[in-house]
Amino acid sequence: MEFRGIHILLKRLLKGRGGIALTVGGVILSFFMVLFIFAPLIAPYNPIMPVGYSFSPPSREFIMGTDNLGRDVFSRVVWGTRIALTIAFTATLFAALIGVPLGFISGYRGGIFDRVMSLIMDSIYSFPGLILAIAIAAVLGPGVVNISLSIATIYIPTYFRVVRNQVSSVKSELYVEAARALGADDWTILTKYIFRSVLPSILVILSMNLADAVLTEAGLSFLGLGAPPPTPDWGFDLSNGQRFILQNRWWMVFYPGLMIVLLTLGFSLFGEGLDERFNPRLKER
Amino acid sequence: MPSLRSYVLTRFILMIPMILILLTFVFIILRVLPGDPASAILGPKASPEQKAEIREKLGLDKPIIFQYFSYLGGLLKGDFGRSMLTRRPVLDEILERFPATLELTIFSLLIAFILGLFLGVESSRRLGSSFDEAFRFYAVVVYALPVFWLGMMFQLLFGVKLGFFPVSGRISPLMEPEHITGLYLLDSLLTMNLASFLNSLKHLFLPSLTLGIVLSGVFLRLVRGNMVEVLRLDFIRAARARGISERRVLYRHALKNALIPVITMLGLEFALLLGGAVLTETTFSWPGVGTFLIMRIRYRDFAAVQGVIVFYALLVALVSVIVDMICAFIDPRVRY
Amino acid sequence: MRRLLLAVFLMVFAFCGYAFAQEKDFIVIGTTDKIVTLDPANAYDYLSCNIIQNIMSGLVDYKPGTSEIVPALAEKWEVTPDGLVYTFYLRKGLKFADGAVFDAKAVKFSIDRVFKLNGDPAFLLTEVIDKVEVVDDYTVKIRLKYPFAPFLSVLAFTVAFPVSPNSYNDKEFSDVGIGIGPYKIKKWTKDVELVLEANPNWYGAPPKSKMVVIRFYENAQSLRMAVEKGEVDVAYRTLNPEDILDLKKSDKVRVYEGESPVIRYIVFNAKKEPFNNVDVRRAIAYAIDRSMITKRVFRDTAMPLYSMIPMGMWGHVDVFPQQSREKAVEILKKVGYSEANPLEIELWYTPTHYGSTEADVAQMLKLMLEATGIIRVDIKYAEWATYVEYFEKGIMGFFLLGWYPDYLDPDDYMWPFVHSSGSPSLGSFYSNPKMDELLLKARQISDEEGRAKVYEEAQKLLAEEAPYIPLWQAKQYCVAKPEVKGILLEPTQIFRYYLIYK
Repeated sequence: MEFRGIHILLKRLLKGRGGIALTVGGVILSFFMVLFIFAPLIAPYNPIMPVGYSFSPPSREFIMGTDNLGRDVFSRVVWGTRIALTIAFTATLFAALIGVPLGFISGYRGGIFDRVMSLIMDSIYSFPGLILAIAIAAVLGPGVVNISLSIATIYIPTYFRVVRNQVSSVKSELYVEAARALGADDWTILTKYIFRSVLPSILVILSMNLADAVLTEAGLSFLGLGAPPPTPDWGFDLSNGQRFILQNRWWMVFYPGLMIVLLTLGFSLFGEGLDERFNPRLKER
Repeated sequence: MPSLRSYVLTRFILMIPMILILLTFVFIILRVLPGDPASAILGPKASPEQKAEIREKLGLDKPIIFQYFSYLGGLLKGDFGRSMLTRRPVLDEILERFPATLELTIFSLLIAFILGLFLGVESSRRLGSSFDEAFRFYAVVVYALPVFWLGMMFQLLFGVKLGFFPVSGRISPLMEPEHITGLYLLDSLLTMNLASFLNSLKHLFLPSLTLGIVLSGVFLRLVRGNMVEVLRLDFIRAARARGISERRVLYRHALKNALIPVITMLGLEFALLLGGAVLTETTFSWPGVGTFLIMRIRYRDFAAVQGVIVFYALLVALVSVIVDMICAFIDPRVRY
Repeated sequence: MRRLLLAVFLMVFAFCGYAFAQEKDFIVIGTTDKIVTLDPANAYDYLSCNIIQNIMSGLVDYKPGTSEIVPALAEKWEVTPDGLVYTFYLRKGLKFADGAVFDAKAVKFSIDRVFKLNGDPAFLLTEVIDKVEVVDDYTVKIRLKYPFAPFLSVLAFTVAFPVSPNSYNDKEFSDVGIGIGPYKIKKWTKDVELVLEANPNWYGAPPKSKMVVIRFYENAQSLRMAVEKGEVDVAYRTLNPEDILDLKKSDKVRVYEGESPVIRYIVFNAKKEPFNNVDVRRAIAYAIDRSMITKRVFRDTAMPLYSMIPMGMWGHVDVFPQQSREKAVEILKKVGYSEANPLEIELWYTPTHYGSTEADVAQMLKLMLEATGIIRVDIKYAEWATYVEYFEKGIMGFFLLGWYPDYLDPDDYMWPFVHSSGSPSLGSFYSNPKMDELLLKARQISDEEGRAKVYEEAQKLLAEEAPYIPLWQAKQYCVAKPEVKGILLEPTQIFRYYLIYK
């Protein structure tokens, strides 16, 4: 009986035009939004001040324990939302701001420009993104802005490719041809007809990229290319906690990692949901 | 077979602009960005004269276009430049570490592939069941796992708590098999060294499981999606009607057809794999190209960093060509 | 048939493995350090030099366990009264690991090669040596540019070790590692392990262990697991303080603790705002509680340090003040800072060069300084190569640094730091004619007591002006299986593999 209940729940969760995936993703994301905005109210302690003994295990006083400098892990994890979301959004928006217009122009114009741009973008796209981000971050040096820039670079081709392909297929659709025949200028056609049909895809990619950006940011700061301490940052805290893994201070690595997983999951579920809603043909994939 | 040959040739020719663009991109990132390569090469202790000398030697006093072409020319001759740290040829240094990375990636890919294949086929068979739903959820969750975090959890569980597996390194002291290919498993087999074989297998287990699991989600989704489509086709219905067992229908008839698109995607998966390998290597102290890259970034050895990127670019391009060729070979529908 | 074949195959297989496992006459040493290069002309990091010290040797060496210079490849030497020409009489009948004959020409070749290739440590020779002359097969003359008392200690450093002219050229660096030493390289798998075997032609006492394996670990955790699980016999450099505490309690391993000449400190760029103000520097010195760092970060594996000359060395005097927050606040208020107008500074550290504890130290310092209520600290970091460039160019104003001595004398802890000719290379740019005068005087006096007096005065001046703030003095740790013998933690930090056995 109960098993059936779970069955139905799971079925709903991932089916039905992405409705439930969208909801669950949305719930997770709103949870993080709340953390982001109300971090100072939610976190019981100052995330950069020692407030207890070093390495206190989770207790009523410190629900996720304390780290090696006696700081509250829970407070750090809550505040870590800020840096994670800031970098993820900055990076993806920056990539979209460059990739989307380029994709539009390329797809709409066609010709040599389109071919060259596509070739360039495809080449970068095919390269391991994380490694490229590592190299760029290494050249630029640590810091929030630099890390955002390096992550942004690797996503530009994603936007470009999707927008370009959509635009080039939409532009020959009947209704666009009709509008053109009726004397609409390029700008109107682009904004009014084409952009509207491409927008859903952009949103899907945005969400998927946000998921990936959270992971990449965590990876970069894990490797020591991220924001400087004592800024609460999940990736940094993870690599910090790794030192004490043999002393069995699991809470120092478990909770920051859990946050990364949850936030990534939120974005990818949300993206999946959007995708299934807007591109129903692909729902079985 | 001449048509196949010409297909391969075209594919190789198409590879060239792609590589060229990546090389240009890397060149721009590492050269045009702020910072004096001469002081980066010589380190802070160098005198102005030494810096001037190295600039001249590297052609850094020449216009940037000229530098660009001499850099490309060097690569054509297989010259990846010299490490700023050890002053050894970068390509040699990369090749010393590459077998470790190759071994790790092959095994991770294998684990991901097998997991994804099995779960994907079983999911497609039970479309909409709780098994299917659970593993669709698995695919999403697994993608969200940071590979270094999963690795640490495995280290904690299998290495520290249970003590089953070593948590770092590639092999125990003095167990290294005689060098033939640099792939320990293969070398120990070739030299019939069972101890080394088992030892390196044990070391390989946790890192490749970690990376394999993270990647398995992607394969699961691909296999499942393609299976669903193939299972709708007439010939499957015909096979079932002939009374062929379901297992045989799924794994023999359907999978064969569903696999081609999956293999096509291998090229892109490979890029993902290389990225994940860097983090896996650092988590498990795996002595491969990834740890090499991170170490050299710490020493600001940009010649080595550039070399690694160029190497990976070539590798990715090569793999995509090979994948295309495999597809062309196994699928007669691909025209060449 | 197929089965039979398989069985035979497996048996042969198993036999090979068994035969292999029998051979166990070796010592395994684990480390988290990396070998950068085994070319003496380019090696300037701890592990690279230490390996070279075990597979090669110099004209002179330190007597094990001391800082006393003794003959090595040179049997004896003479110095002209003006201190400008050193004549070395070489040991006869020695051969390099590749069979090449060791003679005066090889010595000249090796030093000339350092000049030509100009690697990282080359300045140690190029700044001092004028030229090398071959007198006869076994006599070599080294002419200096100016008299330089610690010249013999420089020759004991790896950069001056003779290499085989047959295996090296003066066009490029090489990792073949062929010199004259107790060991020679048997096999080297990069980032995995380095296997050394006893050199049969070694003139000295044969190494206690026939074979030594150096294993490389990415981080302290894996090194600790390796020593606990018995994969390595000895773990040297560098375990986390937490791990050392744990292992001290364990009966599976023995923890060796030794003094270390390594000191850690803060540097101020005395030419940069606001640190060009002595009062700012002094206030910061007052705000720091060293024991917080040594306890919370290092769990007492380091000792608070109140002078730049390390404890245990003659001439050391505690000159820096204990923490006094009131005093710090008082001074800062006097110069015009307040809660409303706080002193805003950047504190720099480097995340890997000094180990993973460095970020903790920076964060502790930030907390202590901000506890005054009128200092705001922004932490920044850069990887080592960038870091060095930044401090030499004077970009950083306030940063963490450490010192491994080149020779064991108070001079090496004062002159490079506060003499106006040395301070720019450490990013301090401090200069005070009175300090220069004191340090020069201390170099010219010959008796230790007289020098100690001058150094006391210099240290007091140093504390007053505070261009540096000494923080702590490290201890050396080595963890080994109980049955391992012959471990010697030396003041020179040379780790001699050839004395270790089990």
